[in-house]
Amino acid sequence: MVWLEKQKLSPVVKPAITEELLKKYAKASGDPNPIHLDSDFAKQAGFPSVIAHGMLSMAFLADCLCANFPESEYRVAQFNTRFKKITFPGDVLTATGEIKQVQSDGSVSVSLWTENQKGEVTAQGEALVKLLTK
Amino acid sequence: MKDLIQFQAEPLTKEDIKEFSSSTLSNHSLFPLTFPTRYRNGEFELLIELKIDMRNLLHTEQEYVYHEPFKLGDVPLVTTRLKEHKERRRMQFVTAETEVICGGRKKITAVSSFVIREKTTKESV
Repeated sequence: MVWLEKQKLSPVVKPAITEELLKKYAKASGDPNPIHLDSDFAKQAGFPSVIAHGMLSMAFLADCLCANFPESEYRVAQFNTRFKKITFPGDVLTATGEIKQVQSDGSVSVSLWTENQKGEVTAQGEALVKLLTK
Repeated sequence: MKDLIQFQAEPLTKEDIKEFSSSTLSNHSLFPLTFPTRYRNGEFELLIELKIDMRNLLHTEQEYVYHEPFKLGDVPLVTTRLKEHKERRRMQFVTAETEVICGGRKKITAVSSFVIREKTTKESV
């Protein structure tokens, strides 16, 4: 596939975040912070309920990268994400992005972001994706 | 105070990857790009060393540089260093860098940044 600058990626829409998913992610990722699991603890921190792991949003962005850049053709060399807005259970995140720059060797710089159901950007990142040589 | 944590993780298995992919609602990646978040134990230990109250902790940024793909059976040697700890306007800013090496080969470098919303310390987290 030939990528062009400013070309939009195919978005990935995830099901609504649930407390059950956060428990599953906490176990699989090894994140021990009770702010993601214990609503009393989260309330003491000033939030109305538990909050989603920022890294879960980054995982959704990773999924968007993999959906658009097949692992048989591309390798992700760098990937960063800034967590901009808290995600709560019930929120629906869409991971999407656009091509920032295409280099002469076929490598691509990509801007990525997650949006919630209100259209608010919750996480924003960039990736450098290298074209594998055959 | 410790500013470096090193540990050897369990060998990488297909089940680990399957469990992680399922928890991120993913069915795409052979090796999920954010799987190395499993190797953040050292960061949490450093935050405990700094007596950070988890209620005030916000993960603000994460960066990965992928040097080489992981393989099943890899036994990760994980080293986490406290890169920066500063205080500004009653908030603390912490950055930790983690390197994962398997069989002598560097696999990833990860940089995690945190903000602690108000300077608080407690005896245990």
